[in-house]
Amino acid sequence: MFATEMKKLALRAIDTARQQGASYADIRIIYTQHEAIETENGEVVEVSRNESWGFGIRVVANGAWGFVSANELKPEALDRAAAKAVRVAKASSTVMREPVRLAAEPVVNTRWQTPYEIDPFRVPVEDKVRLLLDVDKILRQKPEVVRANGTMSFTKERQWMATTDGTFIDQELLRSGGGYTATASGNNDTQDRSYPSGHGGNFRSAGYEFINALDFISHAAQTRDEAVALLTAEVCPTGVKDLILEGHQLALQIHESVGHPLELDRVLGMEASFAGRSFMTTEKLKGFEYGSSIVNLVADTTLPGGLGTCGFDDDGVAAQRWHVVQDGQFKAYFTNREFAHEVEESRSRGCNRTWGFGHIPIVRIPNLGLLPGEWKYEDLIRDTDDGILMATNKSWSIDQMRLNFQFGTEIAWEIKNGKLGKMYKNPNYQGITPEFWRSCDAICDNDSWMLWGVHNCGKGEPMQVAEMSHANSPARFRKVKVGIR
Amino acid sequence: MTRSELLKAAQDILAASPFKETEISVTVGESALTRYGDNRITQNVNQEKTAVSLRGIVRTNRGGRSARVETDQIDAKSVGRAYERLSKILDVLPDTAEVANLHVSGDRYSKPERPPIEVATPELAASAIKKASVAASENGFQSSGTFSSDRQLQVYANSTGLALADELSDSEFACTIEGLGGAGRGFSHQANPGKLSVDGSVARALEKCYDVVLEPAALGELLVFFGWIGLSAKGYLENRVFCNGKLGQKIFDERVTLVDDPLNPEVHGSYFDGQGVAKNKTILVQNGVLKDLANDLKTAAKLKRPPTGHGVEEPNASDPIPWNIGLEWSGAKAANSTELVSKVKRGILVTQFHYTNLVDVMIPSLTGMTRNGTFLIEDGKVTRPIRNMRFTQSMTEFFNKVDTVSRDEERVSTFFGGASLSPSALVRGFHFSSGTEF
Repeated sequence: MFATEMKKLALRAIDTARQQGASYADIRIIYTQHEAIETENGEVVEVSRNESWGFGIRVVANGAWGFVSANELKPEALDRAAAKAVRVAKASSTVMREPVRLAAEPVVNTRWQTPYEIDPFRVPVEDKVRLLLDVDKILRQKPEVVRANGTMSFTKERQWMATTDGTFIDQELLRSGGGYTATASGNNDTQDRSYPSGHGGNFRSAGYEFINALDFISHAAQTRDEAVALLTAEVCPTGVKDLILEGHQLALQIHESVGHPLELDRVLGMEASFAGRSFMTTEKLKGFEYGSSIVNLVADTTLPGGLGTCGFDDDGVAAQRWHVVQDGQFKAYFTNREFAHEVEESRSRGCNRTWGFGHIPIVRIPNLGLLPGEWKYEDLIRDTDDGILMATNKSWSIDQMRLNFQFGTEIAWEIKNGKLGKMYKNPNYQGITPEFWRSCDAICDNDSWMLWGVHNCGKGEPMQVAEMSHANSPARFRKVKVGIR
Repeated sequence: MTRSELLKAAQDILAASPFKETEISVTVGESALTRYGDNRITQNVNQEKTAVSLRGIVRTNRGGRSARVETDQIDAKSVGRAYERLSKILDVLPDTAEVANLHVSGDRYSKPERPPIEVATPELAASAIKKASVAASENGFQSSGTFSSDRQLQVYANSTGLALADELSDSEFACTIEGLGGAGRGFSHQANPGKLSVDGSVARALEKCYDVVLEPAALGELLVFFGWIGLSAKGYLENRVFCNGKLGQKIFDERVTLVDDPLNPEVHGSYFDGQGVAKNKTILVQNGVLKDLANDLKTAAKLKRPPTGHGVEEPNASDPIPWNIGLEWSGAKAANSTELVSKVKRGILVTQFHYTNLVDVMIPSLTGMTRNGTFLIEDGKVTRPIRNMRFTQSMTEFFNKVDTVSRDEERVSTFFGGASLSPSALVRGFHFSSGTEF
């Protein structure tokens, strides 16, 4: 019943756009529910449950794009927005090089939904609050911990998309996640330690079963103790070392130094004024060694649990899996229907996504993972003579061409003669993207391969937030500059 | 919708509250943004936005409970549903000892009503971008940038009778022109998009392809980031800022004064914060001495100081941040960045920083990359563009290394938000840690 009503509104809007002179139009009507819970130092600082309704209509007129969004879901508001979008498109066409060309895509009429076991919106708020407060108690059992912060959030997004090509997609996406951080102070220093990762924790396209699987309570004491131990740990030494990156940090490394450089809109200069460009210019499709021969990076929007997993992107293109780097060689970009032809591809890879109803779809990083290698984790440590193991991202910085990067992590450990040694604080490392990936000489196997969700990737103007996962297992990189001062 | 219509709608929303103590904010607005790159428009969007945020407070013997819900629908039915969600949350929340109080009535901020400023039409934006594209292609260069304008009506009201309304407008034309291995950027910020200096920005971007020390955008980014990680009262109270326990002590060179001044007409910041506290000029560092911090109602009560208007809507765990921080320099001055360049024997001119982020909060030190115009300076002159470089710099050292500051100031905004008036600065011995390939 609801879907029928939404379909009627959607079809009316794109029909108005066509009557106003649009050669193509699509619309997304989106209803979002979001729940967020945050505790700090024994107190509940946030419990919110928000709702949002609205639509965004995108048109091509005179060969150029126009986009208008609004909250009001009344037929006359949709008509007004459709007409305005055509006016915006016609203004765009006055500073245009060539008309928009959309790659062909089969027409579909379908419904898709994130698979999940437990609907987080049906789990009582008091259960979630109790869990975070129980963690909070454990974190503050040592006096050095001056701040214990825990969060959980859940987003359910119902989308109805219609295009003038005849496609209608009814899609429901669910994302769940959370984490906590202990901040210790003393010895004239302050240090953070987080579980399962920094920046709000880990997230999946899943239900509350993911929160249960994270098992917050079991990891709280170790997180607290490491935060306190970091206060008196040695500072990460300066030098050139063999570096082993673990889960969450390696996920950020993939995100910043492989994900963003391969967004085709950046490569083509569409993000030059803000997010920046990319060193991965299109002639590199003829042959470019991105990494060592053991490096295989795969994009996959069908991956169960991936934050970027969906039935269809916001161009109406079905989810796919493909190599972007195979045996170290660069193979393909992330594309949408508009830019696929720029790299002589006949079909979009399905990477056009938007943040809610209020923004225009742009090319985004999909789920992007480093395929597992053959090393057992213990063997990798045993095989390293003079190295450092770094874990849990704390800080990131990379130039706008995505070449020179510097990352800081919450914690590191010395590796000496095949054994894990002392703990280091304030670790960081620096590198140049292809040189770094070419220095990768060992990747751990499937036993330690897991998904890390980035739930706050910002891009575009106005800023849009997108979610994606970067599966990986720990990997070693030879002769890396560490301990930058 | 007019300011008085929105005030009336807000009063109706407040009247529908089932709680004794309620705080609401309602915002309606419109944004238009046109982006261009490679001498063509690449994105052209218009957004109409409504946001209703409701906070209810329940008092008990053990303190109380407080929560917030949001909706983007302003009709009575949607607001009623939002209050129902809020009631359900407040029914199950545990009591907390400390519930942030509502700002009391009786305070009235008699600021003048600002005349409404409409967002730019798509045709006005396209004509400006055409000028940049034509100028760039005539010289064999590539242009990129944005034309943006935003209008926002906002109301804050609470059940003590306090009701505040504000109308904010902002617009920017930004133009980067790339060629000959270098880049230049010109930009203009105004409240009214009709007053943006398009011709001046394009000319400046073109000119800087050949010429131009730390320009306003670069200095502004360092200041806002420093304010964020170093001058939050919450961080100070939790001993996680570099200046722990140093209120009233000298922390920088005596020539350094840092102020947060949203009321400066050129800055055009909000008159009040998310907790209903009036904003004023806050002197954070005066002649090198730490005088104040960015406070919200909670931190101000703990530090026994007046709130400074840096609060975020309660409940929250955020740090209060001085988003409008600026440098007032009492040392040597130059007219502008060109005169600063003339004082340099061999050095580097930086237009802008990119992806600035934290290295060590207790020093505090920052890292980031240069972008959009990095030049070699030789014998007082800009001689050629150079490849971009990464800096890793202690901000305590930084303030002690500032040599001369320009009298010219520009309104700048940063990647993470905030706007301030920023001069250019000549800094001796700025620390670059590596280079890159472009």
